[in-house]
Amino acid sequence: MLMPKAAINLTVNGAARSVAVWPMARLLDVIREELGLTGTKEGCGEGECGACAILLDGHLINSCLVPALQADGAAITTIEGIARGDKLAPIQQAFLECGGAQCGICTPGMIMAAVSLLGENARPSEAEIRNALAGNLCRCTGYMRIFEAVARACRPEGLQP
Amino acid sequence: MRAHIPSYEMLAPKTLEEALTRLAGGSGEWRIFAGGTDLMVLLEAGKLTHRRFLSVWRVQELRGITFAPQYVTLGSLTTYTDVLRHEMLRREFPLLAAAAAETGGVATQNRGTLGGNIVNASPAADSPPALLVYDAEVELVSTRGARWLPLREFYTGYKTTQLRGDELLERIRLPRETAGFKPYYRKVGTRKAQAISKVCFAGLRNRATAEVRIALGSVAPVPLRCLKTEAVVLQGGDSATALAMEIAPIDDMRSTAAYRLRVAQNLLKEFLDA
Amino acid sequence: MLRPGYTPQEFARACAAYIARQGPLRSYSQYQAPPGIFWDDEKYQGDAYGAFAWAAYVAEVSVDTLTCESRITNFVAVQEVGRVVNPVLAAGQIEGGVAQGIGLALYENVVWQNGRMVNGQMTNYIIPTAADIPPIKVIFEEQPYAYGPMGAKGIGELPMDGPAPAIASAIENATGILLNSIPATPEVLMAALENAYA
Repeated sequence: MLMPKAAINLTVNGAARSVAVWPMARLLDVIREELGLTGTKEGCGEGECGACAILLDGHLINSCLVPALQADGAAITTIEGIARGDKLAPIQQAFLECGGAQCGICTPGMIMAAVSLLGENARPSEAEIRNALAGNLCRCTGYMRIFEAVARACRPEGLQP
Repeated sequence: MRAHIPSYEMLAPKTLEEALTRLAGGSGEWRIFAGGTDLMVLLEAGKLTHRRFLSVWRVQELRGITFAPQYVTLGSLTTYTDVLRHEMLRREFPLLAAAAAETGGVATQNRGTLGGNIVNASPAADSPPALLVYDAEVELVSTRGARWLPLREFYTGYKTTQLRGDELLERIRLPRETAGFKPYYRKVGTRKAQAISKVCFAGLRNRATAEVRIALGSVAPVPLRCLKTEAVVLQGGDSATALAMEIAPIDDMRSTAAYRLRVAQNLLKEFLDA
Repeated sequence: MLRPGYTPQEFARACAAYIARQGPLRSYSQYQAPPGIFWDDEKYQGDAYGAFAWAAYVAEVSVDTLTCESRITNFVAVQEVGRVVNPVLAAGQIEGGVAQGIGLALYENVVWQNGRMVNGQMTNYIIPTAADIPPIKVIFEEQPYAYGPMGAKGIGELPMDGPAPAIASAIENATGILLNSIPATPEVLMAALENAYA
């Protein structure tokens, strides 16, 4: 059986887009393949690793767990929407300076999680950073420099317990 | 990703009535799809055998947390984030907030719903033990009407519930009678975050009125309210042995029956000694 | 064309200028083993490496007596690596390796059934999350190795080796139980403790 595709309308990094999708296609695949935004990564395909994290209507979600139909009428922000043209956001600059990325596969999701955190908590403690990022798995960095990067993006004094 | 996506159908009813009309007839043709944090995992594993889903994500009647004198009522689409952000709910029902904080990470908490969690009926779910000690009731609705059921009676066996083919879980309500009860919640998982529980313990104790409520997850085919153990506690008997007889932990990929039993007993002791 | 302290941009410009003037630049070099290092690959005898990097790891572990969960509360990793070429990357490599070593020590159980690994997914193969990793303090000592690039030795595999033994020793220090297999899961530790005190 082959269901027809349906058109969905969504705002992607501020721009209105319309795509034809199967209703239960993963939003992750719509982002990467229909929208051509490959910054969002698939790490596990089961909602465990957070590499596919984006903001959907301002909320951090794992895009591999959202069917496309549920994104109809929504506003999404992907990693491509974080920098302002050529100018990196403070969190991205902090990741560069602190060595927050090694292989980089977790990095887009990590940055989205950090953006989500900083949007709600302007000066998180280390414990708050750990909790906010606990849904983003990293195998390379041991997390330390990621915490420092998040702290550096918002606190001149750096990571505080 | 192992599913054949084009063979799945999804509609998005705008109202509860629209959803119930689709469900009516009870043939089970359509199934409810909420936040997707359980069903999409099955889809991706190629294990989602059902093909036609009704997304209720935008049905506003299923959202909201309402405090009335006797009950607090939560829409079934209440997410874990909704629970954590509701100051009054957190204060009065701290075990529910504790469970919400233990569920997945932030991204899961933003999409996972209490209703979905209850209907999915995993014995390892984090919220049901808290809901069970709070004497939660669930409202099941269909075009035939509405009925309230104690959550304790909702689970009938491993991943099976009282939910009929034409029904939808609309609301959950908790009696506001927690004053004087000392809360205890502890989840023991494979790691500190993003973990499926090995043992989950929720307890409420009111020494003044000699009441105790105990519920556990991951130690039986269903989330279990341990009434027999409660009775033994109140009689001053050997509650560790009573618990051992009331729960039925198993060996699985995550843990062993022996470990689960010992930990459950240790947590019971910590709860009672507090 | 280049003075000491040149910037990457100056380097790029100089390369372009060279090629414009002289054509492509080709350089040939061949590795020569350091003198005095002999390795017999047939007999597996001799000096396999010109130099070794050294490390000392200290793990501070807290064992929950109700659940036998081990929590690493502090970790210090000291390594002598010849020469630290890029401090940020070098420390990052150690921190990442320590995290992997912690996973090996406490979490990463491989479950076999009929010769197949049955827990090969992120949900059931347990690696540490941001909530599980302790503060990791990294210290470098440098004894430059004469035949290493800028005096550097190797660093890649080093941080995997130390954490698990350190953690097992810390668990022994805390409980009196020296486990002889890893991961030191709570189930294994609990069974060992019950055996020991039976």
